[in-house]
Amino acid sequence: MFVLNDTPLDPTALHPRLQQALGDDLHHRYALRMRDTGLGLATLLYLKDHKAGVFPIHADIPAEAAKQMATKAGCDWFLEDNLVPQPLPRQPGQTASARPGAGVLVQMSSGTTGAAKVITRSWDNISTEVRHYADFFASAAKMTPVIACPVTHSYGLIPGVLVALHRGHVPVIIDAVNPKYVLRRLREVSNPVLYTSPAMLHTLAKLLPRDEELNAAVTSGTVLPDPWFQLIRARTRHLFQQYGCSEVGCIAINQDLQAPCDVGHPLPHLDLQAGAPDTPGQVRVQLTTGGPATTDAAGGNWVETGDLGYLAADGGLVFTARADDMINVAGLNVYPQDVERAVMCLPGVEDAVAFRLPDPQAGARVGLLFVSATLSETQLRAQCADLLADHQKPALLRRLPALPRQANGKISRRDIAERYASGTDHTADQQVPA
Amino acid sequence: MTFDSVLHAMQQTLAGPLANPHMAQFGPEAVLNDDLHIDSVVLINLLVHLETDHGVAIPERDFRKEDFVTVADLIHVLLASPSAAVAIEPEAAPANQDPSEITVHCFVSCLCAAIRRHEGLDFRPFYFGTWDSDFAVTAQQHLAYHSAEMTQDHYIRWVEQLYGIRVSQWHDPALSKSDNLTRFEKLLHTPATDRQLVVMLDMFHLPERDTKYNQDPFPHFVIIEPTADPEVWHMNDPDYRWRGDLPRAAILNAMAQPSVAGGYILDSTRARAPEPQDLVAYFNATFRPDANPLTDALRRIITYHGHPERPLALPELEIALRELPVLSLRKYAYEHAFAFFWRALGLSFAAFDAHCDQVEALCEGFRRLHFQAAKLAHTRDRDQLPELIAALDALDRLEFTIKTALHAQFQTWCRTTQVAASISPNRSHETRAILKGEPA
Repeated sequence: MFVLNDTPLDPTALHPRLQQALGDDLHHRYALRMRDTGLGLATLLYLKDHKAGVFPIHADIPAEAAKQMATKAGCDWFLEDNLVPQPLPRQPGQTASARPGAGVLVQMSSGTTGAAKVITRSWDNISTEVRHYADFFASAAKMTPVIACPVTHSYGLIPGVLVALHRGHVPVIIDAVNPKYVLRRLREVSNPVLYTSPAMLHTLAKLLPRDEELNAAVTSGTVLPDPWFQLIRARTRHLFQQYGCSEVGCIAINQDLQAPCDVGHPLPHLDLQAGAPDTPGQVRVQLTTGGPATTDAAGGNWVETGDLGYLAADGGLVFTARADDMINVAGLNVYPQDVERAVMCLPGVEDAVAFRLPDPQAGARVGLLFVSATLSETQLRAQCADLLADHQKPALLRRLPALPRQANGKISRRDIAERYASGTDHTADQQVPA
Repeated sequence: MTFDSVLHAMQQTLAGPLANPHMAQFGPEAVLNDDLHIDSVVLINLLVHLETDHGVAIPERDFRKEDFVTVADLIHVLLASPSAAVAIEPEAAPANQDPSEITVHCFVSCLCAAIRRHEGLDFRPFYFGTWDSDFAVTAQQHLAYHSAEMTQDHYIRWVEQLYGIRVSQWHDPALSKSDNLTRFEKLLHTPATDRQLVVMLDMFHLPERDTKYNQDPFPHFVIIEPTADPEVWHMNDPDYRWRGDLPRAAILNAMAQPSVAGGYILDSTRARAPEPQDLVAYFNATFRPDANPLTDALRRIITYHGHPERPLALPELEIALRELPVLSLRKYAYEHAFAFFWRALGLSFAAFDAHCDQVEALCEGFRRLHFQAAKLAHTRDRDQLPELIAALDALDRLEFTIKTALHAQFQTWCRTTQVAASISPNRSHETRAILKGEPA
C-alpha cells in the first residue's frame, strides 16, 4: 500500500492485469519506462515478488535511448504504460538459451572512468540492505516517508519505498514538481521524513513560512553547498544524510547532520575502507556477509565508489571529493560519455566533449563542446531534445573548430571544466560563427 | 494577480536571477521546454522567485510538468484560471472576467465552496451536468430558475458520494419562520470546526448587495458566518464571488421573506477526493446526449407566446424570459468540465481554449436570444419569430457539438483512468452497481 500524491493505491489490485499482460513465465529481465508513477511502482513490486529482473528507467529518457540502455543492460522485454511487452533485440553473442539473469534490480552507474556501466543486484541482496538499513536508521523508525524524488532510482526506491514497506509504513510518493504541494503534503502527514534531492530541499527551506520547520529530511547524492546547508539545517528539526553507491546501496547514514561532508557511520553489514584525515583515499566497500553485487566487469569483492574520503576518529566517513567525471544534476547522475555518445551519433557532429559546469540552481549542469561543419549551436540544441533527458541536456553548448585535445588525443574534462568555471576559457578565442 | 503581471514577473525572473540565455524566445506562446529550455529544476526555482520576489501565491496543487506546455499554460495553472479567451476579447462577456470563478448555480457554488476549502480537492467535476440542471416552466409559460417543488436532493446526494461532504437541513418546514430564524441564530453561534451554514435569502431585500439582475423576488443561496460583533454577520456568496460583512438585521430580514425558505449544514470533516468510478457514474447520471432541456423549453415558451391565437401573450414574452440570464449562465459549467479533462488528459491548451470559445459563443447566443425576444415582445412584430426559432436551432446545434466533444473526452478519460481505477482500493459496491446500470 502506498499513496501517490493524494491517492492511496493498493498495488496488489493490479496483479490480475499484470498477470494477464505478462503471463506466468516471469523468468526475464524487464525494462520499465512508465510515465504513471503508480503503475510503474506497482509493476516493479510485482516483478520483484516474482523474482524477475527489473530495470526501471526514468520516463524522461526518450524512448529510443531507453531501449538502447535496456538492450545494453541485457533486458529482453521493454514495458511502457500500456503494459504491452515489446521484445528487445538480443545482444551480440547472446544465444537464445542464455537468457539474462532474472531475480535482479538493474541500474546504470558510473565506473571510475565515468563511463556508464550496468550494475545488477539480486533481490535477496537488496532485502539484506533493507533489513540493515531499517535496523540501523533508528531515528526515522517511526517516521512516515514522503518521497519526492524518482522511485526509478535506488535512493527513492530502496531506502524510500522498500524500507517503508518493510517497516509497515504507507509511504507517500510525490511526482508533482510543485514545491508548495510538497510542503502541503508534509503538513498533512504526521511525523513525516522527506526523501528528496538537495535542490528540492533547498527550495523548500526557502519557501517555508517563517513559523514552520521541516520535521525531518534525508539528503543524499551530493555534498550540500555550505549556504544551502546553513539554510536547510536552520529550518529542519531532524536532518539526516546518507551515502551510497549503486553496487551495494546505502553505505552510511548520518543521523544528526551538523557538517555537510559528514556522511555518517557505515551500516553494520558492510566493511569500509577509506584514507586517513591527513591522506584521504579511495572509498571502497564490501559486504561482510553474502556475496557482493556483480557488475558486467566484476572484479574483486571490494567495490570502488569513485569517491575520496577518510574515516574520522569516531568511525564516521568524511567525504572529500568525487574521483570521476560524473555530473550530479539536482540529484540525478549524468555520465559525460552518455551525452557525448548521443551527440556523436548525429550526422554532422565530428567531435564532442561533455563536462561539469557549476550551476546555482541544480548544483551542476552539463557543458558541451563540439565540432561540426554543418550544425549550429541552436540546431544541435534542438536535436538534443530527442536524444537526451532534461537533466542530461547541455546548459552550455559551444561550437569550436577543434577540441582542446592533448598530444596523445586524450581530452581532460577536468581541465575544460576548470577553464569554464573560472572564466579563463581560452577556447573562446577560436569560436566558429554559427 | 493578473495574467500580465505574472507574465512580467516571469520575464523578470528568467532574465534576471535565473539568467536564462534563451530570452529572445520569451512570450506567452513560448514552449517552456523547447524554446526556453526550462526543465523541472529551473521550473522549481522559477516558482520560488515568483512567490518570494513577486508575491505570486503558488497554489498548493499537485501539478506535474506535463500539465503545461507554454508560458501561458503555466500562468493559467498558477492563476487556476484555465481560459484565456476572455483576456483576448475584451468587449466580450464583461460579466465573466475570470472563468474559473464563473457564476453557474448558486447552490452548487456553495457546495463547491465547501469542496474548495480543502486544498487538493478538485471542485470542477462537481459541475458535471449543471449545464442541464433543473429549472421550471410555470403554468403561465414563464421560465423560472426556482420553484417550491424543486429540491437540491440531487446535488446533496452526489456531493456526499463524491466528496464525502454531508449536507443536512437546519431549516425545518414544520416550524414557523421565526422559530426557524431563532434556530439558525443558535446554530450560527454553536462552535464547529469544519462546518458551513448555507441559507436561502431573497437578494431583492438586500439593497446593500447590487446584483445585475434586479429581480423581485430573487431567491439565492449564500454561506453565513458569525463575526466578533454579534450584530454583524459575514456573507460568503460564492456564486457571485462576493464576501463581506452585513448587518445581522439585514440578513435576517432577507431570510424572513415569504419568497424564501430553506437552509443547509455542510459538514466537510470527512471530505476526500472522488473515486474515478464515482465520477464516471456522476457524469453518466447527468449527461443528456440527446436533449438540451433549456433550448427545448425556450422553444415551447416562445412558440406559446408567439402563437397568433394568443395576441395578448406576445408582450408577456419579455417577462416569461426574464430569468433566462440566470439559467444560461449555467452553460459555463461546460468550461469546468473541459478544464477538468484538459488537465487530467494533458490535452493541448489550444484545443481546450477552442472548446471554451464554443461555450462562450453558446452563452453569448443565449444573451443575444434574450435581447431578440425582448425586442419582439416590445415591437410585437411577429415576422421576427422565424428568426428567433432559427437562432434557437443554431444554439441547439452548437450545444450538441459541445456535448459530443465533451463526451469524447469523457470516454478517453474513462479509458486512461481504467488502470488507475483498477489499482484503487475503495471501489464501493454501490458505485459498481451504478456502473453496471443496476439501481443503487
